[in-house]
Amino acid sequence: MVEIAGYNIPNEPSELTVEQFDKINFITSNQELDEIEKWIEKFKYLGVDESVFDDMEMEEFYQLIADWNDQPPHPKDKVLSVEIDGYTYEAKPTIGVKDLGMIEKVWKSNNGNFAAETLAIIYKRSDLTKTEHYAPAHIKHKTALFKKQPSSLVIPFIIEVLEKLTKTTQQIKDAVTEELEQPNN
Amino acid sequence: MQLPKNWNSLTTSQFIELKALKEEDFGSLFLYNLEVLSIVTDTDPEELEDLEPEKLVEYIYELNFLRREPSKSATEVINDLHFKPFILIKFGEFIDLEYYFSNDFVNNLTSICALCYRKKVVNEWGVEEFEPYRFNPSDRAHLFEHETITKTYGVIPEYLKFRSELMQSYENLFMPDVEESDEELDPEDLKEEQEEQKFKKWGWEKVIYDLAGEDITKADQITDLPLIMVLNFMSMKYELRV
Repeated sequence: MVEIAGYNIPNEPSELTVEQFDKINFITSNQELDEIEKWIEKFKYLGVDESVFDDMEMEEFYQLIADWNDQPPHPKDKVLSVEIDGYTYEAKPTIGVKDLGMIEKVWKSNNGNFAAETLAIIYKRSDLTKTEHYAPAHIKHKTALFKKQPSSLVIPFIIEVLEKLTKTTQQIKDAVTEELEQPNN
Repeated sequence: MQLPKNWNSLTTSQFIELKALKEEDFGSLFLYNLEVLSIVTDTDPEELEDLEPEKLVEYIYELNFLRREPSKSATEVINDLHFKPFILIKFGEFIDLEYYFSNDFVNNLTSICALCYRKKVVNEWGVEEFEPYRFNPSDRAHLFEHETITKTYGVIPEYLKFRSELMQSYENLFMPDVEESDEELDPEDLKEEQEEQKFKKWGWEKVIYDLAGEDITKADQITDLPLIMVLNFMSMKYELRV
């Protein structure tokens, strides 16, 4: 936790929920805001009253940003099984092409729920069938559940997913655009 | 996983399925390519879902031939049915081919093949004769579904080439559409435009009706005439304004 003018706000992955993690990233990617506006929006979202920033010196403001960013190293180990509301949700150690494709769609939609929906796709309830895992209503339900989980759960997956999305998407595009001249029968 | 190495390993129905896929409908490069892989390997998509993305990339490289066209020359014989040269087609066959080609020729490929590949006999004069066009091509379409695409695809470029030459030879009949204009038309031009639109809607029916002397019972006689003969006749009527 970080204290800003008497307000304690979460900053570590174990303190932030997945929903907060998504919202903060969504603000970061908002092209209509400048850097200072983005940070004010983030602090406001995490519970600090806007009036706190009215008379704040820039040096103090930069210090707050530095304090908020002063976090322990991000967790790297994936949690492969979690229990929520009495049900066990399991993730595989490596991500398959269907899950990555579905996550790619979420990424492109930029709907502000990327981390929560990524977890909803990756974690599958152990008592359900494959078809049930991917039913839109079930994904929506799981997204709501995972929003309340700590963001430390999603970070190891997000790192891998973004790496794979960037790398393999480019490789696929390269493969598709490769110029081939000889006809083939 | 056994991947096809070239178009020879894929059937016509696989080709049609592949061409019907639109990447934008999937919203994901991975999901689209997963479906492609499922079609070309004839595998249930569920069995491929856990494939590693890197492996998918490898497969896509191996399937690069999919981005080229299959063989462009028409096969002479398929399933004991013989390719009927386009120069010999009847007027009715041409009208149906035009319909198939203007309504997604890849999706209609098997029906196009059914129309173009026919039984053939040598008559008492030693002349080869193709069976008459007395069947519905869609009833025979199944005969071509499992044929390799390299056998069936050639009919498409062959017909497009024939059609292009035909359009050139009978330019007076197949005039290009006049460019649409934003200008307001005077009543006379408007009437002409409306007539033109009506003709477009009823194009071939109107031609048959006129050539049959406005006697609908003679329509079959007109559609059974050789295409080239009909076009020559139409050209003459057009030139002489008769």
